[in-house]
Amino acid sequence: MTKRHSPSRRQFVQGLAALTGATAGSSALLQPSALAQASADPKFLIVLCAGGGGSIIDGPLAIRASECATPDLINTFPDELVKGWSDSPFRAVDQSGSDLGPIPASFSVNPSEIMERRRHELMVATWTRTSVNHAIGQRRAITGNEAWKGRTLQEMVAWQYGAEAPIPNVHLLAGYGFSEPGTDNTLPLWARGQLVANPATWPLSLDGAKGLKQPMSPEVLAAIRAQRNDVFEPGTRFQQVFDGSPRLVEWSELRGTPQERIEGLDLINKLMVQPDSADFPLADFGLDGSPTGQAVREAFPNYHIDPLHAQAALAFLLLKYRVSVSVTLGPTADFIYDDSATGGSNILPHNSVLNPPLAFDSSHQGHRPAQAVGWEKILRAADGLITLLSNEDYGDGTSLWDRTLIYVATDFGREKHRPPGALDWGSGHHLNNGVMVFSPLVPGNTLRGGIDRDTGLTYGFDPSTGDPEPGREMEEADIFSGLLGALGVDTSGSGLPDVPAMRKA
Amino acid sequence: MLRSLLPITLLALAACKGDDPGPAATDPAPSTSRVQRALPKPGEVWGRDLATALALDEHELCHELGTADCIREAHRVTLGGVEAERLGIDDPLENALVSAPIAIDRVAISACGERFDRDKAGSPVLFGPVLDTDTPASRQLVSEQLVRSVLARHPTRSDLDALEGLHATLEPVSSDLVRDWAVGACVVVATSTEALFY
Repeated sequence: MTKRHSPSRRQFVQGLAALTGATAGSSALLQPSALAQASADPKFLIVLCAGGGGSIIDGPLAIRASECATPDLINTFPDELVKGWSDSPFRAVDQSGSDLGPIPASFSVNPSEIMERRRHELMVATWTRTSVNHAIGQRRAITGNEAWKGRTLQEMVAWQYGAEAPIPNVHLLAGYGFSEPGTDNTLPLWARGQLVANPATWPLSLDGAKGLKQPMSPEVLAAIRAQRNDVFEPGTRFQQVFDGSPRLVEWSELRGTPQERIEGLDLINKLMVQPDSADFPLADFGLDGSPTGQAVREAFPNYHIDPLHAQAALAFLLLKYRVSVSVTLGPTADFIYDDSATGGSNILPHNSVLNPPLAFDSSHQGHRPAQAVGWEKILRAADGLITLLSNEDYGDGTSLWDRTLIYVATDFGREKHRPPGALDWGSGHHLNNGVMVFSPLVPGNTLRGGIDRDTGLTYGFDPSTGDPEPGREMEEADIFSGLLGALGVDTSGSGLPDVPAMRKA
Repeated sequence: MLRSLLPITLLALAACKGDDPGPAATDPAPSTSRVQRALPKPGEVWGRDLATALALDEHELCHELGTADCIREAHRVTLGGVEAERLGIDDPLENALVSAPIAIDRVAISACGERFDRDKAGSPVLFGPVLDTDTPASRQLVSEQLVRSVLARHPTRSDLDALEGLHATLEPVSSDLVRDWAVGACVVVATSTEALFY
């Protein structure tokens, strides 16, 4: 019988590189030396998903009524609500409402507070999408409409920068097209997305024996695993018959280097956002929780009830502890409200709704409040992450934020028209939109493309100079490539368009 | 037709000869499957099998922090389960998650430890022989029972040698050799690929 050895990640990478490197036009990305170099000097990607259709003209490209020829028919705002800055192409709409469409809950949002301090790190690029189907639009937002062998942005960043990271590509948002795997079977196993269904309990799956009622010493566990892997299993007929089965090979690989790295870093504690409490009795089970727990809980105080806050807190820890180079998160479709704010009454108090049902897609029932509350939620999540990352020393005098890009991904835009004079209405899906990108790696305080304020439609830009070009539409592949370029991912041989206008000179 | 059935009949007759055959001698290495199609058991199926083998209820296998059922709640998706209503995951994930083998070990250590503690506290159902006296013979009895109950087949000499070998491996690192061997042997069998895949 031939024993099948589990290859190390490095061996896997080298084997793959040898296999694919012979192909003419292959990206230098696959070369082991390039991967090693890139993992020592990584960039980090945060995909912050505005699921349901975040409309760019309800955010930083809001239109004042006085700027539009038919303001009653187009999605415009009263001039006095739209705050702008003389040094910036961006706007913010501070507004209030008495309900969230059919939900009798009043709200007020104040995005200008975030834009006041973050606009210099924001780039908006316009594009025209290719589908108004949610799942397809979400998927194309991360593959550029299958622009590069069906690989996702997260996979490419993980591949280039994550060769030495324990879990390079983590998806904290489940059940959306934003978290679907790509379709390139040559992608290394370790660069594929790892789904985290529940940020609160997931760290408990990162150590075989810590935190159990009867914990087991690492030495004893190692001896048991070695006896199983090296002696017991190879002697079974099952293993002999199915030796070489892809599922068993994969399982063997996961039991090797990835497991050693994960357990060696004590991630069961470091990534534990929850504090010790009656509901989460960490101390009773010999666990300490994360040494950075207090800071992330302060930044995302609703971590115990709002999945986005729980995801964002864990996302930061994944980057801080160099566990991942790509994290994907976003509001869920669940209706979430703070019942502690209701005081036991049946009335939803002001701002007690933390997430409208269906997130941005609640715009079908109430466009204005859904977009207002949705963008507020996205902006505050981005702001919290930027604050935490900015305070984190990378170790060379720069911060983690200096090498991070937050891509606000969304399915598509929303209809630009409204019923004459309507203050709220239901909107459908629309191909035309734009994306927000927060990062020191992109030209900040910059709009790539432009907007026709009479129609609410955006138009494109010259990929090289960034000059706005009315009549031009940017494709999904353009933005996909521009994002990869800003992150320094090697796209040579991919056939992708070069979009230098989206990266900082 | 008659000729094609003859070898099966002879095999069946051979298998019926005598009583419990006991540990089988190590067979010659079998041929590797041409299709190599081993599939993972969903976590709930594996857990059900494990609970039956250890004479525990499914909900007694493992609880994270004393409250969250490991298989049905805390590690549900990690162990290949679905969560259609809350998370929109209505198919098991195509590839195993990186933490899945760790979570599997965790559940097995809890479940096997629970069985050991109950056997020690009351009427033993699995680890009685080693709780009475820790000898190679008693360990073999436990090993045989483990393979029969967890893998639903007769143990082979290779199985028994591997599980007995664990005792020597643990000796230098264990402070409670009886418990660590018993729980460890149980974990070895319960988390083997034969128990996890089909």
